[in-house]
Amino acid sequence: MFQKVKFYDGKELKGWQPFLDELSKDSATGILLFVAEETPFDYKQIQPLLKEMKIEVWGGIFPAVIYDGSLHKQGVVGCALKSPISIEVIKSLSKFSGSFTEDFISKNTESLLILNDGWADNIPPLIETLYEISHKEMTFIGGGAGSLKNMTDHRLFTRNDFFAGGAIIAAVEDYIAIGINHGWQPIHGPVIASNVSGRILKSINWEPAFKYYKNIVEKDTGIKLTADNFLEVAESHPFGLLKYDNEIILRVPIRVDAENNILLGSEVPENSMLMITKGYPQKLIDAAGMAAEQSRTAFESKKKKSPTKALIIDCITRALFLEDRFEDELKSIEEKAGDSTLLFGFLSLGEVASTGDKYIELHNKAVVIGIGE
Amino acid sequence: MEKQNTSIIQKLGVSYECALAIGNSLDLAEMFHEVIHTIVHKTNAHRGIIWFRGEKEKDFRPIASAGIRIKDVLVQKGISSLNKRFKQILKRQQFVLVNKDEKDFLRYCTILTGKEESVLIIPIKNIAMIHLIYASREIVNKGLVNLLSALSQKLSVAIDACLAHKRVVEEICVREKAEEQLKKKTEQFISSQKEIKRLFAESEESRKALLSILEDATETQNALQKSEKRFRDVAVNTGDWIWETDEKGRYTYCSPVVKQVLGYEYNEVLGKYFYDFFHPDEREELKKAAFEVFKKKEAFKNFINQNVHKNGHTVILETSGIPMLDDKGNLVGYRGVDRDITERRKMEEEVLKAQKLESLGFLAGGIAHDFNNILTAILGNISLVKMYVKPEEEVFEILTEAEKASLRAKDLTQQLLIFSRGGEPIKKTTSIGRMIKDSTSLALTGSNVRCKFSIAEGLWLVNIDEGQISQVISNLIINANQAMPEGGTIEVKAENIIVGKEQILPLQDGKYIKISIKDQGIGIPKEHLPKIFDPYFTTKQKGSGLGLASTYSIIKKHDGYITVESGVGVGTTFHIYLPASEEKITISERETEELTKGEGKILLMDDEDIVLKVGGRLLKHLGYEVEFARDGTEAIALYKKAKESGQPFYAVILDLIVPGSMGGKEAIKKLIKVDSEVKAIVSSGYSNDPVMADYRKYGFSEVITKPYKIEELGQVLYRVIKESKYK
Repeated sequence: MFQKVKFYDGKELKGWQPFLDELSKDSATGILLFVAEETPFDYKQIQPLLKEMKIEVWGGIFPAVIYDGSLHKQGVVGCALKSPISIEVIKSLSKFSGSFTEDFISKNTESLLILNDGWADNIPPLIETLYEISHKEMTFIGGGAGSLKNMTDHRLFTRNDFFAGGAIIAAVEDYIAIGINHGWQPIHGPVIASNVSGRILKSINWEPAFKYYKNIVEKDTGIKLTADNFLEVAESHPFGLLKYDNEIILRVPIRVDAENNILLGSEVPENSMLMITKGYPQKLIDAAGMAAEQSRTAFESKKKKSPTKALIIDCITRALFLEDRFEDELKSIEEKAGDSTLLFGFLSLGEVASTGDKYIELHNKAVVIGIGE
Repeated sequence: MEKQNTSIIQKLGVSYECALAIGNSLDLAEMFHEVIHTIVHKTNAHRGIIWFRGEKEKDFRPIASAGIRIKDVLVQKGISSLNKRFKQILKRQQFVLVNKDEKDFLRYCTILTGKEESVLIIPIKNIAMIHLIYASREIVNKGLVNLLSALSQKLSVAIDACLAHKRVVEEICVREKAEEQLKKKTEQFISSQKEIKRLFAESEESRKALLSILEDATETQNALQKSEKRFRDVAVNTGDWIWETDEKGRYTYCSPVVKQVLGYEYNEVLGKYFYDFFHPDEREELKKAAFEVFKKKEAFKNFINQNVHKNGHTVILETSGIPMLDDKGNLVGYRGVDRDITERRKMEEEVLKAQKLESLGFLAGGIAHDFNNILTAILGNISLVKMYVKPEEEVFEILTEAEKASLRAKDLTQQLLIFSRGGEPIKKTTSIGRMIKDSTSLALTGSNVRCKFSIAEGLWLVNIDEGQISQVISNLIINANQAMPEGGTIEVKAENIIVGKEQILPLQDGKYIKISIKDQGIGIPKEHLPKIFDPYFTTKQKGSGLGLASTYSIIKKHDGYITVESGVGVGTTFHIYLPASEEKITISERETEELTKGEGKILLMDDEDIVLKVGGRLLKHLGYEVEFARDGTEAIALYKKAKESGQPFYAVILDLIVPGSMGGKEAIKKLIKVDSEVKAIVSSGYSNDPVMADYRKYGFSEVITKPYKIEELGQVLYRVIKESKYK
């Protein structure tokens, strides 16, 4: 899957050329770039270099990137792929037709790498379509690009475009083993999302959403919850969507508007049942380790050898919540992924994952680990 | 939150959302799509297909799928063989669950991706099949099968509704086609009239010829007048507003029905633009959309738009129109019809609301049953362990805390059931004073409102379902609290009254407890007072409108009465009347926690192992000998055998519902035939079944709701056995 993974601090334009040349060597089939948002990245200046490349190059801007087990707010992680790939670019998810080009997924496709705009609406139809056309033991891994500070900036790019509101999907003819976990614990519920419009949660149990949520969170934290401190306080109390098999899919509350509505990180269906959950740092850290173990076990069982690289897609809100202890989360992953496994990836706004045996899920506040060689 | 509780809540959540997906659309394919995606997603299935067979169709065909496209299902091998299996399933009307290591697996699993472990097929009447494939066989347990079987019953009702709706839509299409033809004929007559006029003006010299034409024309005109009259009759009497506009959207014709629809005379509408009547919130958006259609000169159908009535209220219209073109194909205007669907929309919303609650209530009942069985084991074991510990020891305190937590979990079940509004009251004679105070205090937790109690001494006893009446008090206190956002005082009064002829109350003469709850809030306007107990009536912006409706229903089920006095700015007072009970307080209501021990043989019947295990322990500790049965049939056999051996059972505890086998309701009928003086106690976690409320009518001597503490079990047995002939 991954031929090589490199890091470049991105400070100067002239450093890009050797960085890209190095990645494209040795018959690489495509280059995936994760750019940290504080990197001085000027697409107009870099595009001519990208256009010169004879292989597919694509990527996104993220709050921070991960390389060799460390977090970087500035810099670029480049990942050269070694297996045949095909790329599908959806410029606008709101206009997504529900179909892909005929030969996008071949019978040899084993995994899909998905980069989407973390602030775009209409991600569920994309996921539903991917699920319909998936076959065999295909696995899925991806995450949302973007920044918590700015919802409108362009954040995805290919050799030809720099755009917002869309997604880039790569079909790869190689296997990547997936592990997913979050570690958040339910403390209240169930409640009904009685009025929802996309990512805007308007009412809970037929009461204004913020009023209801505030009451629970204030009781639990003892902190008065206001529009001003909302993200800071609510990051420890996300919503959870219920599934049958003791599984909870999280939705992160981001801010409250003047009408007492709560803006969520991803959509929830109207009338769905929600739990209010709480984070305990050690449980989150342990859960990340379990995700790494899950993916490593799956990889070793299928490939009968040890992995060499682990792609980590970790929700930005986990890093904000864990603060200094986020390092422990990365260490926990490192321990379980194997000593000789190189950890790389990015902090995301929403995570997409499936182990290939059930529905593809759009997660929040989760860590997704893809292990390959 | 305890892991066990979370798991049960998760199952309830999944049941609820799957049940909601059913009936979300009246289009069959759309509904099936929604249902299969929800089931597959929420139950972590690998793939899922719904197969459907129309009235005259021989074979099932895939109509909706998740995780695989229908066209890919159709090319799978073994579909005809699968159809044969479906027909066998139909005959038995039972689900089929096949695991990978069973020999027939491949006959049921036509899709092969290498991850399939279990296949579950659930029939829906004789018309459809839910076909689910799981990659983990651990998920497909008894609970999941029960859940999906329950959903399939609901789905069959929804399918009937979709098919009925389809027939109605077809009928409407036929009618619309006929109306369209009538319009065309009318247009033809109008154009022939114009042609005649043109000829008339053309030449004096052709008078003779023209006269002859006019003779024909007179006949045509008569026909035309008749046709025009027919058109006018249709336009006036149809109930739909018929109109024409010019190419800019200005009304050039308008049937008088517009008065009924929008409140304007037709001549007030002529010359106005169609978008002048749109609701301001969506005017620009709809105007833009409409002119897009104008630009393309397209016909449109069932375009939903909100308009403002002359008196200010919103009217929802369904608009259909066709373009009018000149000889060169230029747009000269639109002709169409508007139907007022405001009432229909309201009805649809109400039906949906009711359906949501019904779905939740239906499933909550089932889940609560399982939940309470588990709690019976937890609570029973705790109360048993407490017997071995001295009250002054620290362990005793810890166990008491655990016991309280279990009782809180029991309350959680009750909270889930609040949504359902269902359930016959399970009445017990009790004193209501303490309960009023407790419920009030609980409802005001965290509020800035104070409460002043005036509970009369020597309050008569009442025969009530404590849970339901506590809910009533909570509902009224919460309303009172919300009516005083700035704080204030709520006065709660309880007193004895005798209702006689002098009181104008819809109650039988007799003794009653009157509870009054008075707030200092904003009050209810006079015009709202007659409606406040109607379902879905609410003055709160986000209220469900069910609180007072369920309050009313609960009081009515207790043969009581509720009334309200209110004035804007003065406050609101609710008065509740509950009949006083002549019975003495039952032993279980004593404030004592003493253990009532006994002796003799007890037969305990329940399908849950944990209930049997803990129930057995509790009974032994209470001094009884115990034997177990797993269903009604086994219980009857054991009872007969014991009676014949001369060592009969003093009492029998029967679980009301035993899935797939004989439960307590059926068993008691047969036990009475064996022994007319059998002493039986009915036990259940939760049920809407009237047996729990009216157990004596069905032949039971007592009732005990799960989960129960050892003290409660001891007291119930004591009351039953003291009347047993075998004691």
